Amino acid sequence: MGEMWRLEGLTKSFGPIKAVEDFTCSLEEGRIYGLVGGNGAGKSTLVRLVTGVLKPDRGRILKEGKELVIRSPKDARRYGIAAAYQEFSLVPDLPVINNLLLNIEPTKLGFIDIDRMIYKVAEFMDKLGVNIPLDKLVRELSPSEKQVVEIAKSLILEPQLLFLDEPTNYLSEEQREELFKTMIEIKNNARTTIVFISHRIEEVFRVSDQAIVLRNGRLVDIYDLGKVSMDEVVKAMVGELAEEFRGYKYVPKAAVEAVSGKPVISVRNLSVNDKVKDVSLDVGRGEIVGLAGLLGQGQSEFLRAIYGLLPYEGAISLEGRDVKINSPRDALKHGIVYVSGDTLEGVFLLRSIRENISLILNLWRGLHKPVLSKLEKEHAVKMIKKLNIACRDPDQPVLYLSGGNRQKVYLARGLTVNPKVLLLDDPLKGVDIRAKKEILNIVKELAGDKAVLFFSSDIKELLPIVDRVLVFFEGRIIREFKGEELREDLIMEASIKGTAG
Amino acid sequence: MISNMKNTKLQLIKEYINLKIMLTSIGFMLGIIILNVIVNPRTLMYIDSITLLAVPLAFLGLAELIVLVTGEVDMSVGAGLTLANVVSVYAYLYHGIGDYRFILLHLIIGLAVGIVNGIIVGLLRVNSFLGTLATSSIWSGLALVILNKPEGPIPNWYYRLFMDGLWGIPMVIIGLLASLLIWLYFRFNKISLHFYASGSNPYSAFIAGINVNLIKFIAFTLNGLFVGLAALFMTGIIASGDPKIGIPYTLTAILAAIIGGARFTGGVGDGVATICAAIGLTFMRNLIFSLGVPFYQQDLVYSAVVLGLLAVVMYLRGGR
Ligand SMILES: Nc1ncnc2c1ncn2[C@@H]1O[C@H](COP(=O)(O)OP(=O)(O)OP(=O)(O)O)[C@@H](O)[C@H]1O
Ligand SMILES: [Mg+2]
Repeated sequence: MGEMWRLEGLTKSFGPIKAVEDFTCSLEEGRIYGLVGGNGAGKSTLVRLVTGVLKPDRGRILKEGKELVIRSPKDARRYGIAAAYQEFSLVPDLPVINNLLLNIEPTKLGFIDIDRMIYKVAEFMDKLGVNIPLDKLVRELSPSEKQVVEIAKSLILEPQLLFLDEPTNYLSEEQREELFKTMIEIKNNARTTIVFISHRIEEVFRVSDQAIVLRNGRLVDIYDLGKVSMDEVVKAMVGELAEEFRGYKYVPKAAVEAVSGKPVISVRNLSVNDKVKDVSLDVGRGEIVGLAGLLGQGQSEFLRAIYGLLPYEGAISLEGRDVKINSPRDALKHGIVYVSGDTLEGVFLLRSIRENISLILNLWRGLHKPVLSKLEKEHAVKMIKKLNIACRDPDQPVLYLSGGNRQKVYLARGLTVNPKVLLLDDPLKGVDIRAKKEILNIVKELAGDKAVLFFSSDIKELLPIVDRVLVFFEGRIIREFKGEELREDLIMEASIKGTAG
Repeated sequence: MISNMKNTKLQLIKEYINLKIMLTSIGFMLGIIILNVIVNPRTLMYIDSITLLAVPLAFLGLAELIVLVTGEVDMSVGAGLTLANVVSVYAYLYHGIGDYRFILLHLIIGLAVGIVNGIIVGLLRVNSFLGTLATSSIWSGLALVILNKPEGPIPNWYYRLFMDGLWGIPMVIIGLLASLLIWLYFRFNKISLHFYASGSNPYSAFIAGINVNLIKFIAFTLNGLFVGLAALFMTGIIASGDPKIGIPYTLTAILAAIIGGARFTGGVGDGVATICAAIGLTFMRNLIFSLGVPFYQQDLVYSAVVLGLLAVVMYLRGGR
């Protein structure tokens, strides 16, 4: 079993930023490589260099010792290289089936062979165990469905070298397991080389044979995962900061005394279509309430309804006053702020980091007043430092940031202001380990006199900072955990078992 | 499983022919025609000659649509039509080219203007709005240099074709059928998917290995072919070469494509709906005439109605 692929001296700079520098490594067939590193380490750039989306400044790519000429994604495809991209590569106005078969459509005399197309894809999707209507337009899909289509799109090409760039970000627990099974199957049967990128280190250990660690665009080392511990790999990722990082422990949140007075937000019998059914809850001053449950049990819809993004039935009151929220504008006026994990809906790609961060701040100051650019800048610089946003300066457009750093900018917007109610809808997707801890600490500090509702698809991350956890199942809250019961195993069990538990 | 696949196929075909937009557009067309007949029952007697007027607009609408689908726009279709008309009539009048080459010349000029636009937008990467606005002025100017006033006649056989039809089939039927068939041929061809993909998300199309610039070049080339076809019918209808004929058509052609579902951001739009919209718009013009609006106010009223219509279409689509 010799080396199949070799990347030699790959280098790519964007202006003064060296995104990837002198990257050399060999990849064998039939193996899974975990590619890990902090936000902005250069993982996605590396993927784009090999798939022909970006042209390297220097370096070459070899397959079985022969140098490949890759000038565009088309060439890469021909050599059997494919990728599921972090920011997706889907076409919103075409149906799912045409996205999957884009540029490999079966034809009969030049015409689209609809029968053969459906036959091919239906069988393939069946095998993957995916159930998304093939004729649906991609623009109508949920983020998690888009993620599935993006992955399927790369698999259907039957590549020999496959990059999966943070493919698990939008997947549920079950879907992740399904993906890992598929990865292992094509590794064994088709002898595919897979490069798997993720910020969840346990996942990387679970499926990969080796871990390639990147830091600041440079290869740190390649580790045999049978022989090292997670700690060692994390240490390699964060580098010289390791010591500081190790001592970086959560300080458990001081429990809120029995909620006194009126709750900050009180929700009664809230329903959203058939997604949320009759949910009631109160959140007191200084409380952080975690929302748990499997993905898609109505947690997102619940939070989005409170923010005015979805029409709801039921009553919401703030500090004892009934309010009706019809739009995000209403919500913001009442001091409710929402941040989701969907970077694309959250940031203005062409505007600067500074403007993106201070958006709500300016909204609250009143739009007719001049922008306080000094204050803006102060906030931006503070957040960039705190969340370790990898960028050149605060005036850089968000477009040029890595995926995780974009998400940090979106989060920073919610954390800069001082709302009454903070709604967090799985906002840690794609954020690296270090920033995650920093963000959780900020949320804890912020909680002070407000109410925080925090949904996370990875509930154990939340445990150190929450007062209570509510488990959603099929649109209802089925259980509440607090105090001693705040244990991952108990919460997971309830999430899976549902009402029976 | 099998019935499921049949169902998927049906849904897909519905998606490809864009059933919803098509039905709306057919409704718009029939509504205007019926209104026309109510206001002026004699319209029925001329229904074929009014519809014939819609044929050049239908082709221009398709020319516009095919470019809008890829996310570009063409401000020069009216001027391109004028140039093809004027050059062909000039060639007949002053160089005696009056046989089948008379037809060929229309198509060649159409293709040529399309290819020039295609080079400017697809290969040189000039913004299509500015680029085609510039070429529009050039085609118009060129047409005026060649013929500075309307001149005729056109070859007699070509004139008779529009009087008597081809083998007894009226030209209006041939024109509409041709536009329909060409569109459907395109729509069920693999390349149309690449057109829509390039307009909907050029970056994703590029990643799938599609050469987006080449697609835009091809789009403008096809657009030129449609412009040539439009000119052929226009020449037959006005039976002369007229250096001012095409000017108002660009805007109307864009409107036809927009009613046909197109957006300036690309990726959507349907040809059958565009053809129906072209017919509807032509009858609208006739309606304004029938209502007795004085000649010099017709443009004003027509444009105002068109604008109102655009607002209604946008509103029904829920913004954008
Ligand atoms: N088009 C671009 N223009 C300028 N800078 C860029 C561009 N693309 C990436 N960068 C920069 O290159 C560096 C590496 O980015 P990359 O997207 O590869 O990071 P990543 O490892 O994938 O991070 P993440 O985990 O957040 O996805 C970052 O500092 C980023 O800001
Ligand atoms: Mg990335």
